[in-house]
Amino acid sequence: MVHACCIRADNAALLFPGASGSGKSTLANKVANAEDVLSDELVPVRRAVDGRWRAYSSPFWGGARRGGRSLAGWPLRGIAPLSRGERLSLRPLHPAEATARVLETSLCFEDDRDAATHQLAVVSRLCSELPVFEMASALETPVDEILAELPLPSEASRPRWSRREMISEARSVLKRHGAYALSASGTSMTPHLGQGDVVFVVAARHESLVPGDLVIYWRPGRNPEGDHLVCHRLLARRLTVGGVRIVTKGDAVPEVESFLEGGEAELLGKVASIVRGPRSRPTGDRVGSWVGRARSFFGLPFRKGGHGRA
Amino acid sequence: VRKLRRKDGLPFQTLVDRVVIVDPKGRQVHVLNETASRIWHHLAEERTVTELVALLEGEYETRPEVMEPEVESFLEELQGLGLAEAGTSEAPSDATRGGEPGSL
Repeated sequence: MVHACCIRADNAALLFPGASGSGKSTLANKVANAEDVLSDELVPVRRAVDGRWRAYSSPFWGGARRGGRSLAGWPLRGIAPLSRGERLSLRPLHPAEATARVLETSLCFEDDRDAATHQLAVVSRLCSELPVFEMASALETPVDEILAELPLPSEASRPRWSRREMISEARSVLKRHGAYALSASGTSMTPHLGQGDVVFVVAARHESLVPGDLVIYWRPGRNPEGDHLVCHRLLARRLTVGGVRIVTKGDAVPEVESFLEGGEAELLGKVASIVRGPRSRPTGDRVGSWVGRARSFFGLPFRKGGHGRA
Repeated sequence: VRKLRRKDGLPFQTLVDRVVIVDPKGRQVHVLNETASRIWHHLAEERTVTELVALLEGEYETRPEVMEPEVESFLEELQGLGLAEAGTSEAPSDATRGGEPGSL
């Protein structure tokens, strides 16, 4: 985890590590499309199974408070530790110097020898395999100018990740590690869940869910851009001939939605907590009060069909 | 005459011709230049300044009398930063060795 600003350009990530005041949020604010900001504060970096270094978005913001919505890991193309300057300047760093610069901005919560050895090994490999430049820029230096000046090796162009690929990546992380964090968008869960809230999700199967839980599911569309990762409140689970039908509803919308689990959509997990600004709200203690509301919704569209609840 | 060696257990990594050392307790990262990195490697064993200069003589064209104060100063810096520590064995005395005395 690196204290850095990370932006996406040409389907790859560029990491700009820096201490507080070095210009991470300033840089993030200069990026036209917030979707291209992975973070302006903390960036997870790891070697992916394909052997490439990848940077991921995180739900931690600095001053910019924008971006962090990409669900995919982006191949890391280069690193440029930040500093303030009067004009744009770039200086290639020796791998040792680069390692020291990135280590200084890396989070390591332990101070024992093994943790330090591991951290050093990872960062030195990262800085030996990727180009690293010390970068100074002025407040007004346009981000396009910075990107144009960075002498990075050309990235083999690949199509921009589709929404389906990004959700698939999130699903893969959730299955592998049991937890995932993402930024909320949309208004269907207002006011409980707002635009930009950070949602911490834990993997869960339908058997463990109770009405009132906030569930996350992958609803496929007709094409890869039509897929959605949905966070709605669980109203009920119903056993049907075809399998388990999950019934959900957004708090702020009148429509009730249902899907055949594993068929029409895939249940990925449930929300463990929500962070809005500096405050974290576990969802568990709110479930009780929501069960009542959920039940009141439940009766309306389904009683007529005579379906029972799981 | 004292001998020094690099502090046991400090994580370090050689990258091309330089060494990066991490001091986990002090939360410090140190980068050594090429010459300092050579000295660091020689400090895997206990060495006096004179022994280090003799080793470096074969690697650099600089005269020993020029090298010696610089090596000595660097070792003091390493020790001050807690990256090097005194060895446990005594160097041979000047009388028995017959050479120039070491400075540490």
